[in-house]
Amino acid sequence: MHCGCPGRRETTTSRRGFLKNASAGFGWLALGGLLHDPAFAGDPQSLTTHLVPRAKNVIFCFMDGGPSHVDTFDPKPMLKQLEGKAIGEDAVSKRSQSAASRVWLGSPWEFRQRGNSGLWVSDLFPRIAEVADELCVVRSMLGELPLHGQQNLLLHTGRIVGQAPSLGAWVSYGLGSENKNLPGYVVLNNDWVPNGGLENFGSSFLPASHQATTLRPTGTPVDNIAASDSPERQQFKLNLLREQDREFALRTDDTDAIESAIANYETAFRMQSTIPEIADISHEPQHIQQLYGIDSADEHQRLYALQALRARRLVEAGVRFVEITCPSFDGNNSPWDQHGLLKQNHEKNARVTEQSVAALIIDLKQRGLLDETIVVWAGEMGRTPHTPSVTPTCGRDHHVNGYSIFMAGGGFRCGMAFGRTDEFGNSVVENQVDIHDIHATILHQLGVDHERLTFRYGGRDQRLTDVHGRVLHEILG
Amino acid sequence: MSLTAVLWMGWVSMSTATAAEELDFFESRIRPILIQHCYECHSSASDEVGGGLLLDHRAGWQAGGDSGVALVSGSPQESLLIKALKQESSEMPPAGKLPDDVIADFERWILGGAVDPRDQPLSAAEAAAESWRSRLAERRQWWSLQPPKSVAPPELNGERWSREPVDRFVWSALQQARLGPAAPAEADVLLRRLSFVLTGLPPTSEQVFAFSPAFHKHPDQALEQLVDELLDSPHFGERIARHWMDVVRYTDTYGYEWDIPARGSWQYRDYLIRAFNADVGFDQLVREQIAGDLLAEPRINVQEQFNESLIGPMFYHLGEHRHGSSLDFNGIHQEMINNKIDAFSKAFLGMTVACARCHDHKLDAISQADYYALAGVFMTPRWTARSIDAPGKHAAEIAELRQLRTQIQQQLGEFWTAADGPLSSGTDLRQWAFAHRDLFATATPEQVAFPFLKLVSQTQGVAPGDLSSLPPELASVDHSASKIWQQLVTSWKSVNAQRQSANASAFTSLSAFVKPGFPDGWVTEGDGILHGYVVNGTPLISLEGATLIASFLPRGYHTHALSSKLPGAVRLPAAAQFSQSHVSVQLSGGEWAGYRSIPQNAFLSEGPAFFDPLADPVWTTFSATLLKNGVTRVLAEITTASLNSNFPPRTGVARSGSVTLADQDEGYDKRSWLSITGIVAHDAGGIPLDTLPQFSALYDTDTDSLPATDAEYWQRLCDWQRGAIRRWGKQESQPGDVPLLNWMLTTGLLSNDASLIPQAAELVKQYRQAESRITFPRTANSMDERGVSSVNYRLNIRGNVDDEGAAVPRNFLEVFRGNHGVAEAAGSGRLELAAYLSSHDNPQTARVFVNRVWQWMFGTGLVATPSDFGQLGDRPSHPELLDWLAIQFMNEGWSTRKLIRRLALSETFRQSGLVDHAAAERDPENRLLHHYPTRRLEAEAIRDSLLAVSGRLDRQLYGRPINPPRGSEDTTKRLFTGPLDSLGRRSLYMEMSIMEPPKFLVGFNLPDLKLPVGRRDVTNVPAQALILLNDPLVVQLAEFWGTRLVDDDSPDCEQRVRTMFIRALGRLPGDRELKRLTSAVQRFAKTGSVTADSVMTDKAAWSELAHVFFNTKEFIYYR
Repeated sequence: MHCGCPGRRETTTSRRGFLKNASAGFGWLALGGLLHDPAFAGDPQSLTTHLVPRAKNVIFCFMDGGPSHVDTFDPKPMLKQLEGKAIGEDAVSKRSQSAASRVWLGSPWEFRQRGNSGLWVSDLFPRIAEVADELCVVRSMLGELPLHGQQNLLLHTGRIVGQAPSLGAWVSYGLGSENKNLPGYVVLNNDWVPNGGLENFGSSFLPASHQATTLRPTGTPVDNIAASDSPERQQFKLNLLREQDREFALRTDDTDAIESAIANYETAFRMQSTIPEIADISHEPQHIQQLYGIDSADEHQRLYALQALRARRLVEAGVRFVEITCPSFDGNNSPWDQHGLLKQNHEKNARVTEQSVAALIIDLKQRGLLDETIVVWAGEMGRTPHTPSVTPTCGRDHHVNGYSIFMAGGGFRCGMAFGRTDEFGNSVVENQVDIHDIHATILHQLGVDHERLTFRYGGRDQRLTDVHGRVLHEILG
Repeated sequence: MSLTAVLWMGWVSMSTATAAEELDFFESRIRPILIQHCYECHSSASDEVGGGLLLDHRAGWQAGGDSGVALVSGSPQESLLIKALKQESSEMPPAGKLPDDVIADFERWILGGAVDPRDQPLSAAEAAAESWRSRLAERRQWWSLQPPKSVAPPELNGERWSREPVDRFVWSALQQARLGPAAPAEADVLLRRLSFVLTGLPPTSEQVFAFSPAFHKHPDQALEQLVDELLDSPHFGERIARHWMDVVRYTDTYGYEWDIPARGSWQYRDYLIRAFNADVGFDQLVREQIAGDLLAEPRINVQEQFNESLIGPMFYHLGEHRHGSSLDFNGIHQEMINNKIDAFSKAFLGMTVACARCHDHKLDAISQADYYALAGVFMTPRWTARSIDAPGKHAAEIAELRQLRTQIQQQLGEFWTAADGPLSSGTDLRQWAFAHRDLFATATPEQVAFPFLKLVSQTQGVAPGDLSSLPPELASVDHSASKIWQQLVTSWKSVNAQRQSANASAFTSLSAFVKPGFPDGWVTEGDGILHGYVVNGTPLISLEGATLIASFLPRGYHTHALSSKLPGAVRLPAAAQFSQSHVSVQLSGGEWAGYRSIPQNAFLSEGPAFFDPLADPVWTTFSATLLKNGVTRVLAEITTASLNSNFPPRTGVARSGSVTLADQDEGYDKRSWLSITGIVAHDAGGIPLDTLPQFSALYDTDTDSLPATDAEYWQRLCDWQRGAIRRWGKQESQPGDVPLLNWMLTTGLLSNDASLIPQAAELVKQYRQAESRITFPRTANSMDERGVSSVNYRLNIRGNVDDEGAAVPRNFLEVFRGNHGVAEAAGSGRLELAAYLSSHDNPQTARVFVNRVWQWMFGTGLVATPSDFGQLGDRPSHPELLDWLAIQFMNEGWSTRKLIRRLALSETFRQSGLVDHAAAERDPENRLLHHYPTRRLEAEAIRDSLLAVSGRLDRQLYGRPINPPRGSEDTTKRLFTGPLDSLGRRSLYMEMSIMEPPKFLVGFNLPDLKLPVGRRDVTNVPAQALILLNDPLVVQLAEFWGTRLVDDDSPDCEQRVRTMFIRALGRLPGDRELKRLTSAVQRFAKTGSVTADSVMTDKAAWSELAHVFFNTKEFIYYR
């Protein structure tokens, strides 16, 4: 898995070396005759994994903005009992927007034990509650700073400052793609840029082919994927170009680069049909569409349902890592960021997303795909169990000092809750988990040792988990 | 018997002479090696002691480590230490095996009894210092830290390659490798290469036609002519500027959550373009970027009247700025500092100082202390906006405005003094007052109108609110006038006395602006302040509408006194230097002027508080009480919008009430103003009380006589007002006159109607014309260290921001100590740093820069890692050539242009891309330069070529960034979409937003904007094919070209295809190509169901062919 090249310079070398080894002049093959396409493959030397993989794919439902843990998966009756009481100096933390004078705020939603497992899920998530027995909830997440940009980058790249590849890029780099006409990492997003920037989806120092390809719910699904020509005309042009480029390649010293660029045209040609095919869900049976909520009256829910269903189709087609972002409905690009109007807007966010998330789990399971697909549900933070003052429109602020996320499928233990926060959900008291641990565990399930998946850059072997990360065997089946 | 005892006995039983010898051997041969190679992991300074073994004192190795006893005295064979050094067991030291003679010394030492006088373990600090000192001594021997060596170019005999020294170095290295250079490139290849390398644009058809014949006739002459022509092109500056922008992480925004515009960034981009076009010496550019605000003789752009040097420090501001103050989110601030240090050290030094944030550099001569010493240098100045207009830029207009203002005042003074009307007599005033009583129906005792109100209402015995219903003819009773008067006088005198005394006891006046100037330690900026001092009553001339004057100004500073386009900033001394715990400033302002306090130089604190333009002056308190919880410095400033370094603020920030700046507003060209009319210092809370001076001329009279009648009362009011007018006409206004005059102006007692006072109206018209000639200021984020004291930065232990160690004295890197005066400097030391870096004494600056230029010219530098000349970087392929170039460069005035010319004309550069087998085999990386490599165009050059070839390129230089086309807008982040072709402007003018950089460019490896990048990646991915096949911009430009093609004067298809080759690829087609593409266009026409004859006019067909050209690999590569 180790790339073995010190810094950027040798990226070129290894590409050349690889093309020499693997292609045997594939650039000259006729259109459609290409079977070997390195463009989306990961490290070519070795696509065998470190460990026996439990899962093949990841679907990451990113709950951007930070859903409240004490209103979803971490019941805290004390908050109701002491509602309106000042939290005091002891409850203040730099990992939380806190001050001694703030007051506890009880949850507006009832919590119940669900399924056979008795996992606690609040009434905010009635559909997710129905699949409670599939969930592996971690209630003891600890972040670094209560800020969207930093936490987004931490969640995605393992560093609060970013400047490192996204988890999806690492997975793509480490495992390659099972489908040569599809990228290894796809983000289902609606063109908005999350806090922290597009870097959240980037490949940083990894080769650019591992950065996320963004699929939009409306309009052209992927940039430039709609052919500007009819297939016949495009084929005609590509034939012309191939002849033209071949002559050029012979006049240069870097034939490999030109050949590779020619090959990219062949791949691009095929992507133009593959990607729209996958994006098109119209042939999915009616009951499946309904399961996801494609028929919803709410436009945002329809968009999210469409993306969730596409996520399943992408995974089926061999994409390694799919991320779904939440639709933004009021110009806020952190949809779950309810500093005010907690009840109203958390309910709206829940309505938009939770049915589709539950549907994804059900659908994957009935297709036998849940075992090999890790579904991750996580925001970049939780929300404060306290508020400046209890009012009808009050909300909860940024909190990374203990919050909840869940995994489903992919060999994670199901129907369990791991880790514990204090009686207010204000700090972690048992089994503290950080993002690096989650990253390490996800990679582990994919058969990858997070300490051995490295890329030489800036003079050292970089890895997703930097110098951190522990595989959480306690939550693995 | 324990091992220790055995060893100790061995030591004591030696003869004294032997012991001394052994001791000497240890000190000279063993200890230095231990310090240098072992202490880092095996001493108390180690973060984690390797294998549990301490080698920093005797008992340490005697106790041994996890693997057991480290050495057996007298028996090297049994000693694990020797095995490790020989790399037989573990491999120590990890950086590489020590020389055999050193290992032999260790064996000898152990054999001799392992004498070791080190009784006590060192403290962590001692061990670290000792270990660092010895490592530094070794590391300073590194090649790139040595001054460039003057080496004569090798001598060759009679070869073409012997003319240019550069070539002789290259040739002789090739010879040594038994290789030779490639054959010279053909004319068309050379033209295209030079055009892209020097301007980033393809050659024009005219150049293609002209160059080849000229080259065949006189190759050297033609080439020189071409190179000079390209160097003279303004696009040369754009090209080199864009390269440098990568190095300094150029952005137009600050990224993070709100992507706030980076004020003046584009000014810095244009500064670079101008500088490279004008061939400003690189030493000067170094001085300007590091300390442009401190240069004794700044570089003035005479033509456009601004200070170029002051733009340089924008270099520091680039990169990401996260919002929020350092106080709220410790950690973020330090990340930003890290980015600044990273950019500085990579750009100018080719060193990676940022790596030393958490620990001494693992391999290079950079300690952790160096990092924090440098942080102190950079964090001493204020990071703030500067006005970069040249002093006196608007001197003529300012003088004219001043003169007109005086004339207007004279005219109006005469007019108002002589005017008939309500102020003619007490009776007239009384009549006016009753007619206009609703104007002062709600006056408070503090307001000018109050005596009017009192008299009108109380003489009638009615409540003020009922005044408007009272007919004027009913008002004529005298009996209460004197009583009212008495009350007013008494109450005013008592209030005035009380307040004066309260003010005197609680506040120390620092300035009431009786004279121009600010107190010591206060720093000002901008023409608004320079020309903003006024005496009481100075009229603020109306710049629009039918009125003549807008108001009368109180004594003090008003940035808009002459024009609200003039910028102004007032910077307070650091809070720690306040004479008392608070300083309060009497402030007003408007149109996005504001003030803010900045703790610890937070780069993007969420200020400022904006003024409400409608509010009266307010005493605003700046407080030293913020100096707690580790905050050691608070800097406050009051600025107009143009001098606010964080303007425009993030979207949605309200000014006052709910007035917000429109999302679309980028904050350019804003009229804005601020006024400062008093400064006091105080220890207790509160603000100075208003002593109501406007009434002093009315109540504080020498005589105690009271007005006896209503008429006398009115006459006094009338005299009070006339007095103010008279004094004003003579420019002798008193402090209390200003509110009085302003009240008269707003109530209409003073006529302000242009149509009624034609002489004044004419002057006001001239005033407005002169004011309109004043341009909006140029400002840019830069630095200002006037009036600030130096900062030493605290070391963060292991880089942990919550674990602060001792403050590290400001300094430049220890390895260069003794060569510069940074530590001794009175200010930040930036000026001294800049002087050293731009001198011949610094080994790095010139060498790092010439290497960059080499890379820009040849694709790879002589050092392939242009921003890292350290251990982790590459070694130079031609060290002597690199040194020769650096020395030559400095000797030729650090001229980038001369350097580039020299390289462009070299035989090395003129080579073709033909590689022979031996060369490909022996030097596949082409480090010896045996041919010119095929290079892919950078993202910008690809897009610019599309524009140039299609005919859409707008060659205009400079200007504000242009929004790139976007899939969707996010107005709250100011991510707006622009026209698909960005108006045909070159790519470097597109807005480089950190949050969402132009997608087209990103597709072709535009680097991560917030990081300094020495060398761009070149990837080759299908998304690039998709862009060129389907991106609407490419399709649109193909159509643009196709549409223009059908109007050319080509007689037939073949001829037109030839012109397309020349335009797109800079060459004529071969026969086969010509045939292929000519028949293609006929085919395109056919599929478009057009008859064969009309192919020549078929726009669609030619657009298709244009599209094919854009998609050829040759279009995006040059060789």
